[in-house]
Amino acid sequence: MVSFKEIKEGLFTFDEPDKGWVVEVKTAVDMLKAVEKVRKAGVKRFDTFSPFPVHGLEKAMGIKRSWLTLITMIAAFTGTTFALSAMSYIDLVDYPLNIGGKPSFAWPAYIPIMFELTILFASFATVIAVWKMGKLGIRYNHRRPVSPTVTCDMCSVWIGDDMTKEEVKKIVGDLAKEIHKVDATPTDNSLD
Amino acid sequence: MSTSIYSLGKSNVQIETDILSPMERFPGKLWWFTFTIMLSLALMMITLVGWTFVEGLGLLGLNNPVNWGLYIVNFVFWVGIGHAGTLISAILYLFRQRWRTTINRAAEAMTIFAVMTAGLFPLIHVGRPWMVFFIFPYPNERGPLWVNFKSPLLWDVFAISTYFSVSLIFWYMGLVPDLANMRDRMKFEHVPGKISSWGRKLKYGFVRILAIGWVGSGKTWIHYEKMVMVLASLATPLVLSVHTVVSFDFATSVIPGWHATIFPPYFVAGAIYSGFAMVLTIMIITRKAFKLQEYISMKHLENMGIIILVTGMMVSFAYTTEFIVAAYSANKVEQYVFMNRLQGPYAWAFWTMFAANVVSPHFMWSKKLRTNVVVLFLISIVVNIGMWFERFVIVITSLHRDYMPSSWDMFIPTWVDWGVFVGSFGFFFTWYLLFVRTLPSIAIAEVKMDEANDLVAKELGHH
Repeated sequence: MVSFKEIKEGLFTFDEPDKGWVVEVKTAVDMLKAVEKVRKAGVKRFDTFSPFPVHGLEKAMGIKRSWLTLITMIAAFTGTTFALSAMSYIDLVDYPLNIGGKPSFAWPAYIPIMFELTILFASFATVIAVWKMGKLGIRYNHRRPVSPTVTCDMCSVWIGDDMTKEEVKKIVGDLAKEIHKVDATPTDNSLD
Repeated sequence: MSTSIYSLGKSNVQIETDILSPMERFPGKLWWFTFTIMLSLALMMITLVGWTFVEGLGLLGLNNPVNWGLYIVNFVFWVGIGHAGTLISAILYLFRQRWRTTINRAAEAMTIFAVMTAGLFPLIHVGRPWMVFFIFPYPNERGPLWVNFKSPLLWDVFAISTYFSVSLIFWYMGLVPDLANMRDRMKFEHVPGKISSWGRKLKYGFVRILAIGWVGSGKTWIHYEKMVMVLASLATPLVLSVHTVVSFDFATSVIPGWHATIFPPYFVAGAIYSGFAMVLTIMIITRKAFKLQEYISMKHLENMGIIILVTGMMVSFAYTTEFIVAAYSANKVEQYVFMNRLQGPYAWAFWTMFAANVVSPHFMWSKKLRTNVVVLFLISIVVNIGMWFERFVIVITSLHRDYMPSSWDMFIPTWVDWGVFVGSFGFFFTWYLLFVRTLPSIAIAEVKMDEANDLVAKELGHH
């Protein structure tokens, strides 16, 4: 049985890289190795940045799993229930209509719409949840990546704890290609 | 997963330059030429449709037994086209078919534009589009007057609108990492394309807003990967349901030739068949025009050719079943309808369909033919023609001679019918042409991921 705590952990949110150090590494493999070292060193706030999802990232970051699917499931059931109850109410109470002598509550005929609303609710809830947990949205459009080329080919690890550069170097060793400091989440206001 | 034949062995910068560079140049002569033609066709359609709003549907070839004419034929045709995109983005994703990566984005865009085109037809078919809001169930002051939830036509409203919105968000979420890539590429110029003129600034502003602050965080990627899996699992039954519901529009009626239990699977197979033909047509042109032959290789085209072969045989099987069931039914009306298809006044439409859909896919058995771009292109066009005629045969031949011989009539499409049909291609391709010039037509992040994860797998032994 999964505990409530486990589910809560599985709905982790994006941590704004507002301070600390960014360790740029050469490859995705180095990134996995580096983030594993960072986690094992007991760093509290850390994240990785890469242009693509890397296999094995969850394991390296010590994340059990994403519980996004729970939100999908709740929304899916909501959709089914909403469709069934709305149609039943309309056909039985609000507007009973004799169509070809069929019964008012013709549940087999409701199945297609119940199915479609299940899918609709589930899909939108899933996407909205990713926006919420990933802190995405139009109001975040000023946000910039921690290194200019993160969305192109740069893989990096961000450490948000209070540390000196020497301590960071000690953790990641020679996996680091370059280490630079961040003081606030990089933003771009060039068009304002 | 070992390094597969689909690996490119290219650097990330090279990949994005190959894919994004068409968007960074001013469109060439060929693009403007095609775009002008397509836009004119679309405008022609809009004008003709506007005319039918003013004059009424009498401008079309509709008459009393044939109440559903070319508009419904076109509707089913375009919805069917859309299905291949979802098959590639969802079903092939769930089956871990790696070759889908490079054709995924453009095929999904095709889905969206095809469903948009399809959606126009029921709206204009009602003749009074300003009354269309009646089909949406919402608490209103007209009674309470609700829609009939037991009608397949209403199920269709739900199926098509759900399909469109889910495809749209699936496609858009797939675009977000690539939009962030475009945004940063414009800003930081590790490649040409500095933000200077107002046009570029405008473009940058749009891309920045659409990229919704994506920065490639590992935590977000983990949720994102889950989301792609979830959406693919939801889109798979959805796409199967859409053409099933479209087929219910016909199958739940009592018209001989429509009233058949085989319709749902038959329509779905036909949809995938025609959709892949359209993907093939579009991909062959796109890869040539934008020099993407390395990404959309011969192997991809060959795979699509094989899918056309398989689904073509499924469709042929459905045709055969329909005839056998009619022959076996001992129902004279049913038997007559099918004999009428073979020999009646619309036999030419049936035999065109037969030649195009049943005969032509069998060329794909030959490896030599299915690895020949010209042959594939021709087959894809022929299949599209055949699938349009399939819908013509289903709708028109079943209606024009129904139970009462005294009411039999012929359906002769007018030039307005044909004009709207041709114009719908203009509408579809206008959107597609705008898409290939403004958004990456290949999923950059996914291509990079496949490249990188080959290395990750090799070094760390992940599966």
